[in-house]
Amino acid sequence: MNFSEETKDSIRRFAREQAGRHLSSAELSYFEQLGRKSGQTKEKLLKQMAKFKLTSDQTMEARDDLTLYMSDYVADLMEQGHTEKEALRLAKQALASDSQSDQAADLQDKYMRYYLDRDPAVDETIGLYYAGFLMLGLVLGIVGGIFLALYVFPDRFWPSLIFTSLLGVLAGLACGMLKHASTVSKK
Amino acid sequence: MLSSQAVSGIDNLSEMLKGVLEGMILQIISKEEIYGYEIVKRLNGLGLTGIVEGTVYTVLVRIEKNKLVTITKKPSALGPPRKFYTLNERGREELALFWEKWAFLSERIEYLKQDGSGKNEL
Repeated sequence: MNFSEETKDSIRRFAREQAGRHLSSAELSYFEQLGRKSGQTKEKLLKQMAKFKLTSDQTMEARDDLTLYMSDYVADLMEQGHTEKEALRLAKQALASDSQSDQAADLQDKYMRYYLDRDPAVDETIGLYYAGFLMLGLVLGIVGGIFLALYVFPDRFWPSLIFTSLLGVLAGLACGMLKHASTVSKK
Repeated sequence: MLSSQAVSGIDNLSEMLKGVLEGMILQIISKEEIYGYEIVKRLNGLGLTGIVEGTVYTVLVRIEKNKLVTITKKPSALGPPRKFYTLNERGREELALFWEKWAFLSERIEYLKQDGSGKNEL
């Protein structure tokens, strides 16, 4: 069935607006990931660029799909006796993807997949890294504090010890966080 | 076969359909190579008129994203190539699981209907 240019334009515009919403946000977030990983090597950067290109292709493909699907639907409605304008209005109403129930179902799906994919061994490993780094930091802090108190501030033993111990704990916590981030991103 | 008049008289059918629409679509795809809107027509043929057009597209996107189908692109008169779907191995497994769940659920619902109370174990 042939549509007027106005209807074709309207379908194309609708597909451009709505196609991205039908894809999950996870598939559109590679640009953000690219930004976060800016410190990585050129090879890794190129891989991310390839992923971004893929995402872009997916969005284009989704637009084409929605355009065709909507055209079929409009043609079907016209065959049922609706005017072109009315058919277009009904199709837009039916195919808009911004309803709260769609978003809720999508979110539920994402959370379910997230929890199903979680591996208890990874959580245990992360916990052990935190504990290990904290203990290491504390020990190094205490040792550093003793040296500082003995050779630099002999009249302020306890303040020096407490200060360096706190620094050690903080450094351990920071290392734990970095390892946590690295483990999660590898997973 | 159900008539569309009979079905449209039932409220909240779309809510009930949400849980089973994916399985129904997988079943339709399992029979032959088919494109998106043709699936809508098949569902309309079952009497599900007016309640599936909007949701079938979303379900198709999900099915594709979950890699349950193999896609073949063919030229279309409307411009962009048209996607035709066939079920792959993963899709067949998902469909078998759907029918298992359906058998379990329908058996218990039917039992509840006959028994009336649900007090007696099946």
